Amino acid sequence: MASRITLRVVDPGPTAGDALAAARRVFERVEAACTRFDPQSPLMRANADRTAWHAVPEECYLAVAEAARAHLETGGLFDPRVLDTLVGLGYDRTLPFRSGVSLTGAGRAVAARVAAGAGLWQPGLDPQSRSIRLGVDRIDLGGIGKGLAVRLAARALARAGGGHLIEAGGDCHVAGSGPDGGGWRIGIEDPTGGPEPVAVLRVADTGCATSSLRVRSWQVDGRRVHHLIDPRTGRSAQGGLLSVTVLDTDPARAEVWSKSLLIAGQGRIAALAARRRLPALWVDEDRRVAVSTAMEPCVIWVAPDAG
Amino acid sequence: MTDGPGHRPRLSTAALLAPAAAAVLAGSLSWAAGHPPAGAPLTKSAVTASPTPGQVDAERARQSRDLQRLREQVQSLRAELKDLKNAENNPHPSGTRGSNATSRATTDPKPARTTPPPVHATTGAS
Repeated sequence: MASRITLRVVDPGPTAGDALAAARRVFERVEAACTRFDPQSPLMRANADRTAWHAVPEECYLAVAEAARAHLETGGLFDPRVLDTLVGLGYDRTLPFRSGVSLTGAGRAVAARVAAGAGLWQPGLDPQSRSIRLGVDRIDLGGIGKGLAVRLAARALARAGGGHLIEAGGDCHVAGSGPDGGGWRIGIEDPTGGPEPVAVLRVADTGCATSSLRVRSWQVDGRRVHHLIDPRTGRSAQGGLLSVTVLDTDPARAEVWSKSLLIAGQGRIAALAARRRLPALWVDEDRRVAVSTAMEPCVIWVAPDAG
Repeated sequence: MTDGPGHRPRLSTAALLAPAAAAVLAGSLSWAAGHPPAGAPLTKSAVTASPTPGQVDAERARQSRDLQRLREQVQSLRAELKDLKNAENNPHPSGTRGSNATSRATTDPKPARTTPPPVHATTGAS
């Protein structure tokens, strides 16, 4: 998943060691099942022959099913059919984003493939045989796979002790009231690259996901692009937002909505978050921080210069 | 079907005596709980309760963790107190964020301290 993963158990019980090992294995299994960087992974085998049914591991099946559900729930804002667009932009391998990536010649094949009347995505799902059929377009399960892994890892740690924290590159889950009993304090990373968070939340028993342009951005022929593709245009989202953080008891749903709200853009995010009653915090291109009403009780600090 | 005239006073007396007796008994029990009886086998219970070096270490580690937790809690509460004082002194902090009417209504839920409180984790680039 190209992310550092942190697992922490508060007041560990006698089964904590086993639970942590199980949680670690969850990430390994999801990675193996859902990676797009291994042509032999179950996902990529299904991508290679999209009209056939493929029996896949449980983690891959769950990720595709979750993606289909999210596609409907978000009215198409969440759309995993962006793989060819990402590959067209040169993101066909793990890129060293932190050192800055500049590609030339990529992006020529980038077209509004997904936007051009792709319509509703309805993959074939057979729960009995745990088989999938992807349909016309290749899909990417990167983000939702990570959210799903955090969800499954949280289950593995549910009885490991007095609480836990799972952090996996923007996707978190916390259980219990934290090490000091006053809730878990989660910093929201500054999407412009500053060392201090732009805000701090205090939460308990929730998933928390941030979609951000901070890391997975690169240059293609001198043009800045990033990995969050707007399915309406087939291009990197340009909605005026740098990052969006969403809380939900289900880390996978938090991941889905953080991405979808970022794609929805500055003009729609407040109304969409309000209508869905989503606890959301967003940072715009001027580094201004805003939050939805449902998020307000969780915010304990905002950077004074975030505006 | 009613009690005779001589029965009522006896009942009343009993009703008064019962609580008094209960109070004396409770007082005695309370005193007894706080004072070991003479000749009680203190040494036996002391031997049974004596912890092993491993138990002492474990207990010390637990207390150390508790202390650390309490320190963090105090730190967090101090930060909150500072926020509250800031809020009283500055009901419209300069850090108001949000450029349009929709987001302004929901922005800046807390006044700004210059430094963030300590965090347990950071959520960022995914």
